[in-house]
Amino acid sequence: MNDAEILTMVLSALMWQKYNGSIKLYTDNRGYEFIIEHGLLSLWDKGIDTEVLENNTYPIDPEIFWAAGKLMALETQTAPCVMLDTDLIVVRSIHEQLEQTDIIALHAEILEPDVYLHPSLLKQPLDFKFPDYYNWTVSPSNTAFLYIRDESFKKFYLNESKQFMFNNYEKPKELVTQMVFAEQRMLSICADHMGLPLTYLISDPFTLSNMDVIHLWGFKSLLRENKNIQNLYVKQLLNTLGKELSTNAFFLHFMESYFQNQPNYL
Amino acid sequence: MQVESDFTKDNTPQVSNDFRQYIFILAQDIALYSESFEKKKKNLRVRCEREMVEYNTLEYNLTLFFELVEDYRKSNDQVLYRFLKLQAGFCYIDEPNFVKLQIPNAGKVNNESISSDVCRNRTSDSTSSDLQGGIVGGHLFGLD
Repeated sequence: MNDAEILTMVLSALMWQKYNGSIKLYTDNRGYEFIIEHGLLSLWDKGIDTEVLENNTYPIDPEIFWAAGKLMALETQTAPCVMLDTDLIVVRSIHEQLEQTDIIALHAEILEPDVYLHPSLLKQPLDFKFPDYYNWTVSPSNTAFLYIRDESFKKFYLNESKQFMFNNYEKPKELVTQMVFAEQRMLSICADHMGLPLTYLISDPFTLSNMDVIHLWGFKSLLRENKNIQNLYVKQLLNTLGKELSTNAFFLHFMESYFQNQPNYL
Repeated sequence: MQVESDFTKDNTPQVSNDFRQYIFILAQDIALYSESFEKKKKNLRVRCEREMVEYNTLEYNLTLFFELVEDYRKSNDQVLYRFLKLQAGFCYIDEPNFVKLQIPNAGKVNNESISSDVCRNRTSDSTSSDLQGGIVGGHLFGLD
């Protein structure tokens, strides 16, 4: 993680706490060490859990299903709950939206056939068959943000996902399509099957009417390769969101210890 | 709870039109005609003092701007263009003057939304919807 990604993670957690409530981080031992190294141990008011990921024995290939850890964390939390990626900042209160619906994801995704593969092209575990009730025409959902109100729906979704991921070891040519099916398309399919309305925080990822979220998304690759962009992004983020946290003790300490010797950002 | 940030506020400091014009010509000489920034710094410092502008900050911002111009020329990355435009503001180069610099906008898009198809760039680091310029909510921190 570079400075820009770390700042985004910090703002994601602090802004969530400011406007929307408590937050806990699920990570593994390696992630925990990173958190300690960077003095971020008290960033999440509900603490940090490493046991869920470290003690998990699910038969899942982490290379193919690289985001399965998120689903394991979601399994541990009791609904209603929100799953929030560390590269996504919710900049205002969304309580009202959460109260009005059963499931909210970040935004709908285009059903691109080379990303969301035809079921016959997906690698499947032995003796696995997709249920006939799967509606393959529904739009997948970006789950960088996911709210689920109902525990039984959460269990249904995660069980369907696990059935696909468990013992599914055949390597695809790329490492995108299997995961996005198990996480993002599966969510929409399950909601459709259960007849639950699936709504979105934003109507379109790039709409200017979005006043709720900043999400690094694919921008991370540019941030990683261009230090100038990293500097500018950090500066702008601090200019716009820094004042929101001007009395937050953690933020002030973070700024002092992390950015004190990096005047380019200020 | 009321949100405290004004995401639309223009924080660009005010300077005289003469100074803006001077900076524009300087930017044009360097970005378009490849003249040396080094050779122009002495005069820039004098102009800054006259205008009561912090020289070191402007020098840093201009250096970053010229580096971004070079980065953009190499990549034609749409999000880089948006950052370039943002950085221009820190150098007192307003939008009309930025346009006059004739830095070609490779991925010109409509104002309301950008189709995710346009910018799709799948790399080993990508997710399903990874976009080359794929930042969501960039306008909330100053990107056009």
